[in-house]
Amino acid sequence: MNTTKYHISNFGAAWLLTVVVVGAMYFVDNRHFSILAAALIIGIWTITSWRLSKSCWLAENRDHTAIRQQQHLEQGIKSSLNNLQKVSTQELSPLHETINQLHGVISDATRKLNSSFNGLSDKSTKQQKIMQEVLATFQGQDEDNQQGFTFDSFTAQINETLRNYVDILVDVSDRSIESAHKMHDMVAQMDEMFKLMQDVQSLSEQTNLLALNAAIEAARAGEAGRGFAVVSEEVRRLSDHSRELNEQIKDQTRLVKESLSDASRIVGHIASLDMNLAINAKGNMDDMINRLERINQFIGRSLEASAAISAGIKQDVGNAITALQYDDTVSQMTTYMEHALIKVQQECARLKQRIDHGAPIEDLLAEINSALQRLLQEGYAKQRKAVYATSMDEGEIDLF
Amino acid sequence: MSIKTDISKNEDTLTISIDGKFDFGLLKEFRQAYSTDNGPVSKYVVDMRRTETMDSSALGMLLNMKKFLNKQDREIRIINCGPTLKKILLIARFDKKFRID
Repeated sequence: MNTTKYHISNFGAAWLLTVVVVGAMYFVDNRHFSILAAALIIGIWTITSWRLSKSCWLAENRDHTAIRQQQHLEQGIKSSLNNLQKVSTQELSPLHETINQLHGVISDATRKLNSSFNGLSDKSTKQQKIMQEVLATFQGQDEDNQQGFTFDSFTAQINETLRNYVDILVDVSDRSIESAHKMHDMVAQMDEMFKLMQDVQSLSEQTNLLALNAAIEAARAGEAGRGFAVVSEEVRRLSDHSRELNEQIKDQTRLVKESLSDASRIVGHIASLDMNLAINAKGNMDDMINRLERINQFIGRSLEASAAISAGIKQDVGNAITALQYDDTVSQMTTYMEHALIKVQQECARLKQRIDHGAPIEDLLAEINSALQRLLQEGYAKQRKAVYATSMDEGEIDLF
Repeated sequence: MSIKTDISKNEDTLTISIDGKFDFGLLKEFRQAYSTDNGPVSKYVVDMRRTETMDSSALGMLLNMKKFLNKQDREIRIINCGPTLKKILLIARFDKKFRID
């Protein structure tokens, strides 16, 4: 209700009424009317001035309230700013520590990883070396470069042994058969002897007969033939004796024949060895050689694969170690972070100073504004951009 | 009879065929087959088509035959061997001493 229009209309109305009443007073010459008119004019102006002073008084009140409110606000803002500054300080300080710790943790871990990777690479190389030594041993080239144990020489020796065994078998058989032949020949000779003994037998029988005849003739000759009879008796006795001997020889010969038969059977056993043993052994040997050959090849292939893997490991480790070389970058980044923190802390400190000195709110707000501006202009983001811009221009990149 | 002998038409080759088991039991027969007088025969063949098994005595008999006939290496032929018998002959390295077909 404090508008200019309101005042003008009030005054206007009052002036209008006054003019009307004065005019009326001029035209009406009456004492009562004049007093009434005067009273009216006084009343109008009292009301007007009362209304005007009321609105002034209201306005003044409102001003006071506004001022109080503004002071309240100012207090509020100041205390908020204080709190803001306190919180900033409280939260920002530990960030330094955290940044350092971060750097420390990263450095530590990086160092450990580096050494682990190097160890890994070393061990892989050693492993590879060991496997090659094993292979060399298999192939008969051990460190003294002697033709030591090899599977090849091993199987060759076994093959040789097997061959010798078979040769012996065959040789034994050969001689056994020869012996058997000889024994059969001997038996045939024995049979010849039997025939001769038959002749001897018939010879002695004839002699006997002759002696008998001689005895008969001697008897017929009487006394003159007595000497002859004695002789013929002797002859008979001799031929009997010879027949006995013959019998004994026949018996012995028969025994020899039996012995030969036994011996022949024994030789037969010796000659008849089962060849299957040798065949199976040879078959097994061939199998074994094949298997060994396959094992050899498998070992060879495995070693190749292993060598490739080893090379791959070296490569991977190399990459890892390169990747771990970010220490410089991390340092740079932590430095940036430190600087950014410090800038913000500085602004906060400056603000605190002004607050403590009781600077008015407008100044404080202006101060905050300019601080924010400064941070925007010289802060971390802009620096980072600038750094990247120059680095990229130079063809390098700070990050890994 | 487990041993059969055949003389070729032109009377120069004697073929001895062995039926069944070629072992010590055939000792006398086999010897007789090659050692009797076979006339003008100069070549000798041992036919194993019907031979079932062979032990080492057979090897001995073959070697003695070679000795008796006074033949050089690979002059006596051994034909129609089954795979098992051939294995035996090869293991015994008879391929050097006889012609194995």
